[in-house]
Amino acid sequence: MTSQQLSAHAKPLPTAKYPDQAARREPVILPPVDIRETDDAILIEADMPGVSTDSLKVEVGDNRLTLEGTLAVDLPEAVSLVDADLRGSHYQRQFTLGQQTIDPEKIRAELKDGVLRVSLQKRESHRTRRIPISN
Amino acid sequence: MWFDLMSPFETDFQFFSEIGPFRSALESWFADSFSRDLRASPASRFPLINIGETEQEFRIHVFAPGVDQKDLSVEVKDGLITIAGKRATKTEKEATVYRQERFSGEFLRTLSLPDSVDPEAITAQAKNGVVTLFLPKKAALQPRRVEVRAA
Repeated sequence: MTSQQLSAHAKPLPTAKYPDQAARREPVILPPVDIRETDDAILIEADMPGVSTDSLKVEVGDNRLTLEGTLAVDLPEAVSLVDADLRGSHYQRQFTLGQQTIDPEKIRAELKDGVLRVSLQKRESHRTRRIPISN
Repeated sequence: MWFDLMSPFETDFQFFSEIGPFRSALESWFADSFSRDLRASPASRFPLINIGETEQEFRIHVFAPGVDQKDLSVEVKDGLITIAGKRATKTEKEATVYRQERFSGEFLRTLSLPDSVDPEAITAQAKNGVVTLFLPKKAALQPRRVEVRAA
């Protein structure tokens, strides 16, 4: 294989949807999520162990919800990796939001023991109303 | 040395050497779960584990987000370290579930300890959903620098 071909292979894959992902050589960790909808809100829970509130970013904009964080564990200088299930240190995941449904002003996020819980309140007009039935 | 509980599998996979192009792919696929000597149980999805080593100790990072400390146990016995516990994910009535990717239920992972580790000296610490186990090596087995003096 010529060096030209090699460099063609070395190009970042087209999956580099996020601009800073291409620059970063490390793999991006996609946190597993649970998503549930109740009458008045959509709840997202994401496993992001090793992320502290300082490095956590929950952003809403452009019809998108972005969850981002950095995995930080205390490591001594002279450590060598024996085995790793989890590679990379940057968590990122994006979701498309239905702007008509979600009130962007009423989004709450909470991080506890490595689990991020985001609650997206629905607009009044999109909540489920239960209509009492009278006899 | 790490005692390799999975070594019987290695002979079973010998025939892969005939396959040529497939071999490296298969080996890399199986490498993590079978031939790495440290691991006693195949990789499971939860909790993920990273292991690091320095001259003085091993560090095992157990990624167990959302696991209550009372639901997690770390036991050392007969040269094995067992990490077990359970994680219950919330369920609300009248909720529509769109995605359920997070692990829920009971888990157990076992690793074999190398002889160099002092089982009495193992400590654990939890932070942000990561449990770090510190496994100091026995003093006698730590590398020593021998000074060479000019005669």
